[in-house]
Amino acid sequence: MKQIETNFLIYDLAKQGMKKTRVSMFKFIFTTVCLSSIFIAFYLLNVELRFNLDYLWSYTSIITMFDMQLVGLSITAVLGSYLAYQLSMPGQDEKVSFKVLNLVFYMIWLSLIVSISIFAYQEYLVGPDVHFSLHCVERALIGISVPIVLLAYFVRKGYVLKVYQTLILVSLTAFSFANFINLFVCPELSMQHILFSHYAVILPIILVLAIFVKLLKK
Amino acid sequence: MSIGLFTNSFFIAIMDDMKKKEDMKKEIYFKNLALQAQAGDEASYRELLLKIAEKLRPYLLKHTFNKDNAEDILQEVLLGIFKGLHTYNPRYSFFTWSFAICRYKMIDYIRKYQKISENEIKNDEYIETFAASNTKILDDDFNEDLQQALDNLPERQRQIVLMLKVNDYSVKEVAKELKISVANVKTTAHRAYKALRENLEKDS
Repeated sequence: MKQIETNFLIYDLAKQGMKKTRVSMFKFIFTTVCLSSIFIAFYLLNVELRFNLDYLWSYTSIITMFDMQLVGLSITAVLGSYLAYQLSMPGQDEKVSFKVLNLVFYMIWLSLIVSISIFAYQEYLVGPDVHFSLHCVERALIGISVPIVLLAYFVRKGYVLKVYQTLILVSLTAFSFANFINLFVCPELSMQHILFSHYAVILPIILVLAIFVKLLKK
Repeated sequence: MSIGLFTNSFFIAIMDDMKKKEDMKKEIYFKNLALQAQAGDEASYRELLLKIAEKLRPYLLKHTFNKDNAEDILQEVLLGIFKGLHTYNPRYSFFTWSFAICRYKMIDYIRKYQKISENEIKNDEYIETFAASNTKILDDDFNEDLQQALDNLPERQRQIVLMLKVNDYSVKEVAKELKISVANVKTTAHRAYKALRENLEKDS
């Protein structure tokens, strides 16, 4: 009986089938990266940049946390867009290349957080100086808005099976774009401030999005 | 002895080669069907879904040990293939692509309904409620939980369930009445039953 039902379903689905093309990888990544970068650049042009930017740029002989964040966020922004595209196609996440790049993505994020945490802890031992700033959170939220909408739009054009994995990846990727704003605007050098005001804010964002998706799925 | 071994391995190699060629042929056949289906060809779409259902059914049966569950998952997989066919890239294997959907849907199904199946055996009254065609759902002594679960359904889902189960409409009649496709009725009803099961499970 159920098999007959399945056959009916097949005939009905075939009738409904229509031409629908997938978004190309180039279009997905190029549009996301370009539009997000343009949005962030436009935002940065309209606000006052941090006064100590020249001082940070002048450190050419040693790698500073500023450089590390700059490189790490740039890589995760592009890599995350690529991985989000792959996750929007069933079966692609089972490829070895995807697994390796996915690992690289999370390792970069982890190394960024761990190194900032270590410096923050060292600073904390000298004296607590969190300086939690809502302005930084606000900037992060503004920065995340465009990339996350773009990524969600393109991902939804595909067919996502692993919803929560995609959600975390998309959030972190969008956050990589968003953190450029704080990197160039917030003048704070305290690692405790950077950890709590620039990075910890991603956790409630992911949580809120996960609840939203859960409600949407119901 | 050594000649025997040689001929044996020779035949095994030939058989392997033939099997590989056969698999390749099947792969190309499915790829072509998928490409035509992507282009909107109804016959190819139907053939693709029928053939892939034939391929997936034994796999699902093997893993679920239950014909009805296997068919339920298969229907979910077919809907998944329908929704995501445009994401299939002909550079890769169609089997890998469809099996990825199948595996995910199977795990999802097992995770969601592991407890429900136990519950269904215990609560015979729920089974009766759905099985009997002449059941009067709005009877005074009707289980409150089921009524509540029905009330919690979205309007369209509740409407379809009531038409199918209370008014004894056929799927086609419901589709005609609501001016929607038969597939739409089936998928909405399928979702409604799932939601009902989930609600009943929560209540119990």
